[in-house]
Amino acid sequence: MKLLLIEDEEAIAVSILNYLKSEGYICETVPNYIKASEKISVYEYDIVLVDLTLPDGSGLDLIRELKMEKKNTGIIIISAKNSLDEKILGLELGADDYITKPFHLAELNARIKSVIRRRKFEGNNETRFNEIFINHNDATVWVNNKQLKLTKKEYDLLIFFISNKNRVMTKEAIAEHLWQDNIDLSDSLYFVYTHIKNLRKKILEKGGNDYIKTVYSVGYKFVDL
Amino acid sequence: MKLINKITLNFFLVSSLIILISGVAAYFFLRHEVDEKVDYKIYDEKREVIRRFAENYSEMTSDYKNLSIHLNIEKTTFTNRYWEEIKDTLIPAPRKHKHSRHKPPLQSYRQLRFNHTINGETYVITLRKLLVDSEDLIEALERMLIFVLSFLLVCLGIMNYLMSKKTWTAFSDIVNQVTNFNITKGKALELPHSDILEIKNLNKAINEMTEKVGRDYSALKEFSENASHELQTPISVIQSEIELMIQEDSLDGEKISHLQNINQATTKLARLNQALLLLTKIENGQFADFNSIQITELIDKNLNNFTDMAELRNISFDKNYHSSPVLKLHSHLADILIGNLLKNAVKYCSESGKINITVNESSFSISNPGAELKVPPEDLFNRFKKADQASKSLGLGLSIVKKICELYNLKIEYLYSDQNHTIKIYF
Repeated sequence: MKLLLIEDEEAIAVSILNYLKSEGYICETVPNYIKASEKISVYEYDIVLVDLTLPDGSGLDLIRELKMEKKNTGIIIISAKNSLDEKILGLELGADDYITKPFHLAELNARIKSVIRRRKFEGNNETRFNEIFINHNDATVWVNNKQLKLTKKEYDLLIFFISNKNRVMTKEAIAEHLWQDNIDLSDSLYFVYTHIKNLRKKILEKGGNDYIKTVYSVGYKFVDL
Repeated sequence: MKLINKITLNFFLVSSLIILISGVAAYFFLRHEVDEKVDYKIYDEKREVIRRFAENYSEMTSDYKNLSIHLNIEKTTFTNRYWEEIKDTLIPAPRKHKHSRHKPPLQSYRQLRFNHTINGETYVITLRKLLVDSEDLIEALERMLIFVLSFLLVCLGIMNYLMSKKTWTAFSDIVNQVTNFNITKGKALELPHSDILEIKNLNKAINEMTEKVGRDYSALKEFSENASHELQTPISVIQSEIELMIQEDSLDGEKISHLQNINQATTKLARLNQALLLLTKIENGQFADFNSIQITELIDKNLNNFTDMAELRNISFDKNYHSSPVLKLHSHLADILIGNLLKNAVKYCSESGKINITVNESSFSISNPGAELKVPPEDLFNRFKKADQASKSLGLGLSIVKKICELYNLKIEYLYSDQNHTIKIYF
């Protein structure tokens, strides 16, 4: 899986790079428009993460370039602006997703996974993790071939966990993934805890394993046993 | 009191005083002039009488009958020392009809008495001149003077008033403009043109001042927005670095809890920054375009985000849609508006309570049961005012709601009755 990160802030680029490398991606990073344009015209990438405000140009033009060359590349916009208009424009140009700074790396990772899934398994979008089988098209989850009845949030939570398996995820990252900023941080601990408790219970009921490990005071980790 | 009225009143007061003084002065002046003339005439007569006496004193009385001056000559035995006396005196007028019952009116005379010795005989001579004519003259002059002065005063007063009024309209125009000046609208003042130096100076000063205020204001706005933007990057870095660090297996409990503290603070900082950024963006008018949004649909859509939170605390929603009004709002702001109100209602709703959402043709209200506010209700929509200062919430949710309402000229109010908090928005 080859990724290109177009980000002018070196510090951010480095931490994203570290996280993605440990996820097993082959990842390159460029700090400006010219270099990015060079890279995308020469190499093929599965995913391009593009910051819209570059020192020498707009990330939107890079998206246009990618689309002109008809490359089958997934595009995720990284923006500091949180502007709805920009988001709509980017998505109209053909970007797959839009994420606003500051974001949790786990969130970015989950978004990348989701884009890869959508592009790779056109029409047959499924994930298997040991005894857990997820059909993303109709949002159903099966454990040992028995269907789980999950709420929307529990389903989102499971996908988020599986996307970030073997990683410690903070309660804050989980809470913001599930509710964005519609929840107060002070309440999030309780809500996240309750959802995880229910999800774990439902998986165990169908004879699944308990993959969700609590990491003291910080959050949770979905561990492949 | 209006300045123009004050000026006019002062004008009248001072002018009246001047007219009064000059009237009195004119009277005495005239009086003096006339008296002088009369005295001059009497002394003239006196010389004439003495001259005639020297010629032939026995003819005197008959000769003077036709003069305007009464002459009375009496012989006296008293003194031969010379004396004379001039004074005003009152003497009853001669009766027109001999047996009239009315007492005759007194007439004012100027009278000169002196003794005159001729041929060893002393006479007391009285010359008396009727003053009626001159009195009338003074009175007439005085009346005319007062009339002319008063007329002048009134004319000047009216003229002054009208001219001042014209001059001051520019001034009140300026005051109006300055009063209605709204820095957030970013519209420059259109001050009236004037050829009066003072007004010109005033216009110049006001224009310079508002321009400076405007510049400072936009610089400040720009600064807040830039500052918030610039903060995003370091916050991102901190957040990402923490996430990378906590992946390490070698961390012990103490280090992890330190990291968790940093993580919590950073997340809060990130949210705070985003909320402030949103407020600045609204203030900077960056949400100019709008869509037609059906309020009930908007509520239902946003409600989905809160159902699980509500369920966990056994809170139920009671929706009363009597109408489905359509508003022209920016869709992002509309989501934030309703989202924040729902979030607030769910957060402060008492356990197992019922949140009531009512939509009418012209209003939307959301109410939740809960304990009375500890802060004054008027502070509720202010930035960083929280129901409980110790709470970990940002205290910006309702001020964002207020800001959005202000942007669209929607009236928002808060009510507390029967243990129920209600926030109502009128459109």
